[in-house]
Amino acid sequence: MAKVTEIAVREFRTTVLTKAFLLAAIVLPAIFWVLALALPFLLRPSHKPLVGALAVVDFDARLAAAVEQEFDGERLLRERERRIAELQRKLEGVLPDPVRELLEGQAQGMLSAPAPVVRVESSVDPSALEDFRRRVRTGELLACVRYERGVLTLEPESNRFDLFLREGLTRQQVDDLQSALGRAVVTARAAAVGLDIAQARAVLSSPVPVAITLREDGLDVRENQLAKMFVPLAFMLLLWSSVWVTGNYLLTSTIEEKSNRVIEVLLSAVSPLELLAGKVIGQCAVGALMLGMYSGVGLSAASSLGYAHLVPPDRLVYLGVYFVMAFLMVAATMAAIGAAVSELRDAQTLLGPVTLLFTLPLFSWFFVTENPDSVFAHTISYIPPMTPFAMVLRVASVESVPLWEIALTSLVGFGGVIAMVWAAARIFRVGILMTGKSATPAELWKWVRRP
Amino acid sequence: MTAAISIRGVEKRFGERVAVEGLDLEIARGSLCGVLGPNGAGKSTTIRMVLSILYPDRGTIEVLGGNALAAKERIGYLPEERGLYRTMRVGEYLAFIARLKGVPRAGLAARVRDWLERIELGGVEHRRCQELSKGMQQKVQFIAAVVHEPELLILDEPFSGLDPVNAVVLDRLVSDLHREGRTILLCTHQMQQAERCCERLVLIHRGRKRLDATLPEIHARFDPRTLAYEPLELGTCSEAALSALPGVQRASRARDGRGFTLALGETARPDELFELLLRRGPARRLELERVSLEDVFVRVVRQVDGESAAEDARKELEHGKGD
Repeated sequence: MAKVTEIAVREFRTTVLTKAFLLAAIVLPAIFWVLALALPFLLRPSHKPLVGALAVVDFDARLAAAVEQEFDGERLLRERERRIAELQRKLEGVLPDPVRELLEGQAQGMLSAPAPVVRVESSVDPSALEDFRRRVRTGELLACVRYERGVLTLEPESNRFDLFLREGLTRQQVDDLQSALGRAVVTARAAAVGLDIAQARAVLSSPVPVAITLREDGLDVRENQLAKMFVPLAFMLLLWSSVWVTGNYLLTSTIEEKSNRVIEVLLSAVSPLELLAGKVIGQCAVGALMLGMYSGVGLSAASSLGYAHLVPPDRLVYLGVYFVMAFLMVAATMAAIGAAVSELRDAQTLLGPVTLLFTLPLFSWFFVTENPDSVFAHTISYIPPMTPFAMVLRVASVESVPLWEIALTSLVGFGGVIAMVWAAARIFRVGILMTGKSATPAELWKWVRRP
Repeated sequence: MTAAISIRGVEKRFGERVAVEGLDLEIARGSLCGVLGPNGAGKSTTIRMVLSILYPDRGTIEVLGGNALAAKERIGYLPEERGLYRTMRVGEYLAFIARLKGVPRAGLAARVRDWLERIELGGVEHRRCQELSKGMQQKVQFIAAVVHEPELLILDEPFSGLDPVNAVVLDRLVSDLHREGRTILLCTHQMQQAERCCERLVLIHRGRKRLDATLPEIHARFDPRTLAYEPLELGTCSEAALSALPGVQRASRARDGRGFTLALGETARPDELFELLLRRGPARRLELERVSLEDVFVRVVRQVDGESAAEDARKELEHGKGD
C-alpha cells in the first residue's frame, strides 16, 4: 500500500502543481467570472436607429396614419417604458437579484438609445408603388410597404403585407420596421371596430404567477422554475468536467510514461496493478479537489443569492457518490486506452466512441431535467457508463427519486465500475509494455480474455 | 547457499513467436555474470521475467531464494530503453524510485546526495531531468537502479551511449558493487566490456542458452590452437620447413605478410614448439593466439543460424513432400 500511496502522491503533485492545472482550475474560472461581470458592458446594444423615409401604399389613408403614429417619438418612448416595466415584472423572483439588476440595467440602457426618425410618405394609388420601389432601389427611401385592402377586414388570405427594403439595413432595423408596420395594422383594425388598443392590450396581459412551496420544515420557499432547471445542469457540469479533465490527465500521464520509457523502471518496483491503483487514486484526489473547489464556489454563490435551499446537503452526498462512480469508470477507460497506445494521437481513435457514450447524458440534460421520470431517463440510469451522469441530473431535478431506485442504480453503477476496472487492469497489464503499433479493439478484447 | 537467480525450463511465447525456449540458468550469489546475445535473442524477455514484469508460460524462476515478485525491492534494474520523468527534479525522481523500492524516508535525501557525489553528479539534485545531458541522464538512471542498495543488480547495456570518461566512472562503480558482494547480471553487446569485467558469460540466441561458461573455460573450449610466428629475418624460414615441425598441421603466411600462422594438431605441445622456434633464431613475435569473445559470439551465432536454416529447409522439404 505504501508504494501505491507514493505513486498516488506523485501523480497528484505533478498534476496539481503545473501551469496547465492552475490555468484550468483557477485562471479559467476567474476569466469566466470576469467575463460574467463584464457581460453587460460587452453586450450593451449598439443600436443603429432607423433614419430616413418610409413609403406606404394603402387603399385608404387609415393605415398610413397608423404607421406614422408608430414612428412618433413620444409614442416610441412610452412603448419602451411599457416593455421594460413588463420585463421587470416577469423577472422578479425568477432570477437572482444581481442578475436581474444587470438585465434591467441593460434594458434601461436601451431607453437612452437613439430613437428612429422616420418620415412617412403615403399614397392610395397602387400605381405609385413602382416609383417607390425605384426610390428604395436607389437608396432614397428606407423601405416601401404595400397593404392590401383585406388586411383590415381580418380576411385570412389578406392578413399580410409586402415590404420592399433598401440594401444594407441591419437585422435589428428590419425587425423594428416589421414590428412597427405590424403593430400599425393592429392599431388600425382596433380603431376600425371602435376598440381602444391600449385598453385591449392591458386586458390581454397575463398575470405573473407567484408560486410558493410550503415545506414541511415550516419554510415558505418561492418557486423558481428557471433555477430548478439550471441546478441539475450545474451538478452535471461539475461532475462531468471534474472526471473528464482528470481522466484526460490519467490518459496523458500513462502515454507519457510509456513513451519516455520510465514504465519499465516503475514495473521493476511495483506490479502493473499497483501502478494502476496509484495513478487512479492520485487522479481521483485531483478530481475531488476540482469538484470541491468548484462546488464550494458555486455553493457560496448560491448561498449569497439566497438559493442555498436548492442544494440541500443530501444532494451533495449524492454528488460525492456519483463522482467516485463516474471517476472510476472514466479512469478505467482512460488507463486502458493509455496503455494500449504509444502516442496521444493514436488514443483519439479509441477515444471517439468512448467520448460519445460518456457525453450522451450531457447532451440530454434538458430532456432528463424536464422529464426526470421518463423512460429515457430511467433507461440511461441503468446503463453503467451513463448511470452517474443520468442519476446526478435526476436527483438534482426532483426531490422524489425513491431511495430504492438510488440504491439499485448505485448497485448497477458500482457493478459496472468493477467490470470496467477489471477489464482495464487486464488491458493495462499487457498493453503497458507494448511499444510501436497501437492495439486494435479486437486486440484489446483478446487481452481482456487472456488469463 | 541458494543461487541468486535460478531459471528452470522457462518458456515464453508472444503469440506464435517463441521468445524464450527451454531456458535453464543458475546465477551464483555474488557473481558478475555477463549475458550476451544478438538483438531479439530473448535477453530482455528473460530479464523481464526475472523481474516479474512478465511471467513465463512454462518453467520456474526463483530470485534471491524465493518468489520473484517478493524480491522486487532487493533487485536493481537499469533497462536498456531508459526513461526518466523529464519534468521532475533529479533529487525528487531518485527519492521517488527509492521509496518505491522500499527505502525509508529517513536519511533518503542524504543517500541520494551521496550517490550523486559518488557518480560525479554533485549539485544537480535540484535540476530538472530534462535539463541534463544524455550522459548525465544515464548516470541518474544508474543511481535509480542502485539507490536502494540491491542484492541483485541487473544492468541492460549500461555502457551504451556513454563517453569514455563516464564509461570509466560507471565501470568503477560496477566493480565496487561487485566487490561489496552484490550479484550483478550484465547484458551487453560490448564484448570487450564483458570480457574485462565478467567472471562468467552466458550466450542466448534464438531464445535458448547457447553457451554458459567462465572466461577461462571459453578460452579453452574455443582455443584456436594457432601460433603466430614472426622471425626477425623472414627469409630464413619457409612454410614447408615450419609445417615439418612436430605437432604443426599446417604453416601458412600471415595475412599481413610479416610472418607465419602455424595451425597446431591435437597432440602439439605449444611449450616445445616455442623452444624449437626460438632455437631457429631470434623472433620479433611468437604468440599462442587466444580467441576473442567476439569470435566466439560470431561463431556460435553462425553455427546456430546454420542449424536453424538447415532445420527450416528440412521442414520445408518435409512439408513439400506432404503436398
